[in-house]
Amino acid sequence: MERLDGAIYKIVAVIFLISCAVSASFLYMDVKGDALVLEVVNGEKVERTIALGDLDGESAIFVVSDDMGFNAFVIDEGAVRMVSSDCGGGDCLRMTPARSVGDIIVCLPHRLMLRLTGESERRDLDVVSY
Amino acid sequence: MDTFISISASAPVGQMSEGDVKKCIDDAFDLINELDSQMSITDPSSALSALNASKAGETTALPKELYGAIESAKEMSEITGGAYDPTIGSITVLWRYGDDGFRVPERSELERTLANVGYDMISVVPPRSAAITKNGVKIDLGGIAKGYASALITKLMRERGVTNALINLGGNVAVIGERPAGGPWRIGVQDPARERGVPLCAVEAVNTSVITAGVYERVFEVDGVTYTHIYDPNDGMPISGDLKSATVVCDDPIAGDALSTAFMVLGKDRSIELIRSLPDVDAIFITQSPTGAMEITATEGLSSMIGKVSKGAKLTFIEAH
Repeated sequence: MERLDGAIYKIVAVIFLISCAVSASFLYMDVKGDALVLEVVNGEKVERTIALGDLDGESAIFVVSDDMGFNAFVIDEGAVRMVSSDCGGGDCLRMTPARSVGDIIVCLPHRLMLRLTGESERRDLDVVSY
Repeated sequence: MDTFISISASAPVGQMSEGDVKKCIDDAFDLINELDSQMSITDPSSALSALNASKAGETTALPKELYGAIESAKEMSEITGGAYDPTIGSITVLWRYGDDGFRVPERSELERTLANVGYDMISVVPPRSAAITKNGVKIDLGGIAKGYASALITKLMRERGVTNALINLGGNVAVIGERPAGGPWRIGVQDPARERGVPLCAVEAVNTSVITAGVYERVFEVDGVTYTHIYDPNDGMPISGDLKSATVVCDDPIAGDALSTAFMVLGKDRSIELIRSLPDVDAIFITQSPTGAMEITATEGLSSMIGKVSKGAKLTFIEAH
């Protein structure tokens, strides 16, 4: 809570995704806890990285919405889980929360993949300009 | 705006409620959608398409946002001597990038089409109209649209009381204040040789924008030749050379967006010459040596802001102001 003292902090993210296939390639590394980095993957491209450690233990909800549909996922206590989707089948909502490097959550109908990596070079950054 | 967008914002308790912050972010997204609908060159019903389809000399009334963007685009064209030019649209269409694929046009086609490139063929008519002065001129605001959106969003947020915000429009970053926890925002600069999201270096940023143009984004290959998506308004060809990316750090995201594209067209040395006339602009140029190593050249104004340089990359500061 130290990070939030005296402030309201809300994060809302909306991703406009170009339709393309979801790639399931990822790295396995022995990284845990706040060194984890969540990658939001659009096809073969990582559209966003979020260092879990930057949240300082706080929860954050992210909304992903585009022409293909709606997803919401939560980062809470070092884990990532999908909490809402209009994909129909809802398989992504039943997937085990991602906690370790290599864990993934996939919403195939929306071609959205959340995967945990642990590249330390990214963890101190808020965002990458490209 | 066919890109990844994220916005985070915060304000001190008592200054804004949680609902106010959420509403501010929602309004920012509405603004983005509105700009997108006005500035689309692929949507025939957009206001920009209407202007592009107008006859030479015919004045078209524009929404205020689009008018402002065209006015800014023309101003940036003048500042860059045409290295950034929004009338590159007819060249973009010729290469068919972003449409139904891409192709390499014939030289004769390029030469004919280049006659329709030139920002002086846009006539801005206050208070809110514009005209093109030659049939066939097509305005493409892709080189400035994100920066323009960032400028409007940061203005909106500041007016509402937001004190800390990170606005990321497809890698085009603007920040308000510091991080909510204190200290500058840390913005990575993409490593041109690696997958998106992997930085080569980083910039500490407060109340500024960090905007990158690079040749690694949206490339295509024909007969073994790789073509980029940034076109030189002088010859209509995709740019080439050893400059892999240009990152502009400045308070005005509109200038940052246009300049980053212009710098890619001008190349490193000519860009540095231009920066000498722009006192509030700093930049990072990433080139690739013949051995493949990445070399970072940053203006001296960034010497206290740049860090986290990846192993193997060479960093040099140059005096520009």
